[in-house]
Order: sequence, then C-alpha cells, then structure tokens
Amino acid sequence: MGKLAQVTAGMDKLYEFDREPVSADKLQSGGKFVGLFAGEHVAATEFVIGAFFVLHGVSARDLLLGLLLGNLLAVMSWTLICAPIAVRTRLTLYWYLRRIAGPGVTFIYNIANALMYCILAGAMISVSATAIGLGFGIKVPPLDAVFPNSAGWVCVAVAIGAAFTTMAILGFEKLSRFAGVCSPWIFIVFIAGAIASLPKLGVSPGLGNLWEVATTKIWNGVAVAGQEKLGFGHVLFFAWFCNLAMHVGLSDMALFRYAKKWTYGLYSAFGAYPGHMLAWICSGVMVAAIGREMDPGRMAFEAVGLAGTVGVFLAGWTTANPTLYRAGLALQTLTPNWPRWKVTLAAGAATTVLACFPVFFLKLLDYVALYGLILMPIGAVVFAEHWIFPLLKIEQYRAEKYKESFNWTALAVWIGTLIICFLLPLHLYYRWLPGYVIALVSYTAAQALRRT
Amino acid sequence: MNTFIPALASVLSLALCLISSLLFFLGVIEEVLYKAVFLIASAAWFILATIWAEQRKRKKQG
Repeated sequence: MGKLAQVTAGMDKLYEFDREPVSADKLQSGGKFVGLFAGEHVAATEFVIGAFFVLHGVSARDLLLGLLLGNLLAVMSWTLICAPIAVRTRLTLYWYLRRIAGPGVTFIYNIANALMYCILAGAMISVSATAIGLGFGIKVPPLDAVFPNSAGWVCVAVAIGAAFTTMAILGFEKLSRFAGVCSPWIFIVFIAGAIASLPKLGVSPGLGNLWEVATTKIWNGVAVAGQEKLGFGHVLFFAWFCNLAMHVGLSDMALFRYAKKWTYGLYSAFGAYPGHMLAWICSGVMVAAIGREMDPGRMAFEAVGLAGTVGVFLAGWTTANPTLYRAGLALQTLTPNWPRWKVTLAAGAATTVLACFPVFFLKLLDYVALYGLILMPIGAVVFAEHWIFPLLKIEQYRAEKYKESFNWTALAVWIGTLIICFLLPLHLYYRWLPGYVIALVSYTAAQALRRT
Repeated sequence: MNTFIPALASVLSLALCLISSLLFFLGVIEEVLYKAVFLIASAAWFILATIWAEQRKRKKQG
C-alpha cells in the first residue's frame, strides 16, 4: 500500500463513526439546535472582539447597523448555503469533500483546519492568561506586541496551556458537559458586566443619557493610537465572516445533517445575535469603562469582580477544550497509529507554544478573517459541485467515480483563489466575497472544460 | 427523579446574578455588595446546575 493510501485509510478509520448518512430516526428537534448555537457562540473571543471594535474607533450607529445586518447575512448563509446541502446529503463535510475532491485534498484540508484550530485555541489560552495573570500582576502585552513581553506571561501561558491540554486528555466529555453548565453563566457575566459598567461611564439610572454616552464615551468613532479606524462595512463583513468556515465553508454540515429541514439554519440566529451582537456590545461597554485598554481579565474583574475573572478563564477553557479536540482529531490523520491522548498532547503542546505569542490574540480580528478566507474556497468547490454541476450537466463526484486521490482542479482552484485574494487591492475583511465568486466560477469553468 | 427543584433553584441563582448588577446600576446597592452577591449566586449556579444536569442525565438513562 502506498504512503498516501495508508494515510487516507487511517484517516477514514478516524471518521468511520459518521461515514454513513444520518438516518431519519436520528434527526434532532429544533430545540436542540437552539441550545447548540446558543452555547457555542458565547466564547472567550467575544471578550476580545467587542472590545476591539471600540479600540478601532467604530461609531455606535455603524456598530449597531453593521452587527444587525452582518449577523443577518451570517444566519442566511447558514440557512441558504450550509443547511440545504447538509440536509440533502446527510453527510459531514469530510465525507462529502472526499467524494468531490478525493482523499488527498481532504487530507490537506484537514491539516489546514488543524493548524487553524491550534491558533484559535492558542488565542483562547492567551485570553485566559489575562485573567490568571491579573492575580500575579502580570501586564498584558501592548497592542502591537508580537512576542511575549515578560517571562511571567510565558509562564502563565505555558501553565494554562498545560492544564487545558491535560484536562482535554483526561476528560474531554466531562468537560464538554461542564461547558454546558458554564455557557449560560458566561453570557450573564457579559450582560451583568456591561450593566455594572454603565455608572462608571456616567449613564444615569433613568438611561436618559445612554445614547449620548454610547456615542461619546464608548463607540465614539475615534480609534486608539496605532489602531486602524473601522467603519460600517468592516463591522458588517466581520459579523458575516467571523464564522465563515462554518457556514459558507460548510463545516457546520456536521450539525445540520441532523436537521429535519433546511430551514433549521435559521436557528443559528440564537447563536449569532446573543453571541456576536449582544456579547460584543457588552465587551465594548466594559473596555470603555477601563479606559480602552485591551485586557480582558482586568476588564471583567473591574465590571464583575472575582466572578468576572473566573468567567474569562472559564470562557477560554471551555472553548479551547473542543477546539483542542478537533485539532487533535484532524492531526490524527497525520499519525493514524498514535493513540488519542498522544495526538491531543501534540496539539496541546503546539497550541501552548502559540499562546505564548500575544500576536494571535491581539490580532484576533485579522486572524478570524484569515481563518475563514483560507478555508472558504473549499466551500465554493462543494457548492459548485452540489448545485451548479447538475444544472449545467457537468459530471459530479469524478474523484469518487474514477478513484482519483487528488482532484487537481479543486486543489488548483483553492490555491489559486488564495493567491488572487492575497493580491486583491481590498481590505482583508472584504477579500473573501470576490474570492468566493472566483472559486465558484473558476471551478465550474475548469470542470466544464474538462468535460468538453 | 424530580428535577424541578434544582432546575428552579439554578435559574433563580442565575437571575440573582443579573438582578444584583441591575440593583448596582440603579444605585440601590454598593459595588462591593453587588460583586459579593454575584460571586455567591455564581457559586450556587455551578452547584445547582451541575446537580440538575446530572439528574437529567440519569433520568434519560432511565
């Protein structure tokens, strides 16, 4: 057996448990989707993202309109792009992509995904480090920092990374259940923190001057020194693409394959609006109350006390845990003979090293944009193959039919789209949309030409 | 197994977290009291919600 065949056989074995399409008796009710989305989208990153909008000088009107419309577009992307394909195929993206792009491309996609997960988990650890570091008087690195600014920061990041990794190895499932207990409380930490910060900003109990304070002291349209000024379009696109890999990139096929109807995609609103609107607004209020300083730990401590610090720590922990698990699962394709604990340990070690570099959490907005952008072309390839090919009578699933390990067209479209996106003279936040169209058109055209 | 009492008590503790911040905002209580109430209600939430979750799990398992 060739090396690639060995690797793909091992990879298939890992995902064997969800190889078959979901059967009718396994479909889930709408309530389950409400719970899933509501729990998953209030994470540690919310403490950072909402605060960054303030630091980037977003105005109050731009923020509210941008988040309302951007989240609407995200919900529509889940409902009109991701859910219909998931409901029709009842497969995870892994297995559907394997049919379309072959095991070789799926393997590369898995590795890219694993690296993205590691960086994201590293950012979560950094956020938790700001909470623990507060107790030891460790200063959060400045906004332009790439490297750690003190031995203390490295020690805290390593200690937290080691603890999170150990817990992910010892009790991933128990921790997932604990995360279910944490998530409603973390949401309350955001709301209560914002409410309690209002008097510090001068909001009167009657709320008569709330809009005035919001527009002059919180989202006053003035970026802090060294930070780029962001406006309505940036906020709208950010809210839309912050889960790009999940909706347009189709990762959430894993969830929606259990949906009874494609309209269950609308339940994503229960994650988008509380998590990516309300929580971001709340963290914006909290950061304004501490003088616009990016320090999630101190921000929550000043607003909610010790419970706030615990909230930041737990938000980092409970979101790093599944991220580490997913990274481990994806990385296991590289080392199929390794036991689960060993691969989680490797993913955790890599994540811990990344967490020491504050750049990943201090440039979180840009990283989130890149994360979605890098995986987006694969979503376009799958969309084209699923919807456009039958319309144009182009042969579907060639990789599966002709037992091709690599669908070279899909790989070329993926890499080519990323190169074009890199060269596009647009703000990073806007690049994915033309990139998606380019990937869709070029993949369809290339496969149509192959037919003729 | 009756899950009603831990369910109700845990929801109430979560509500208390929120109410304490509202009372502080309205100037009814001091910041120190608000933070202390929030902390205690949070601890109550973690204990009660864990009990609730365990009971639900056992109920599902029959």
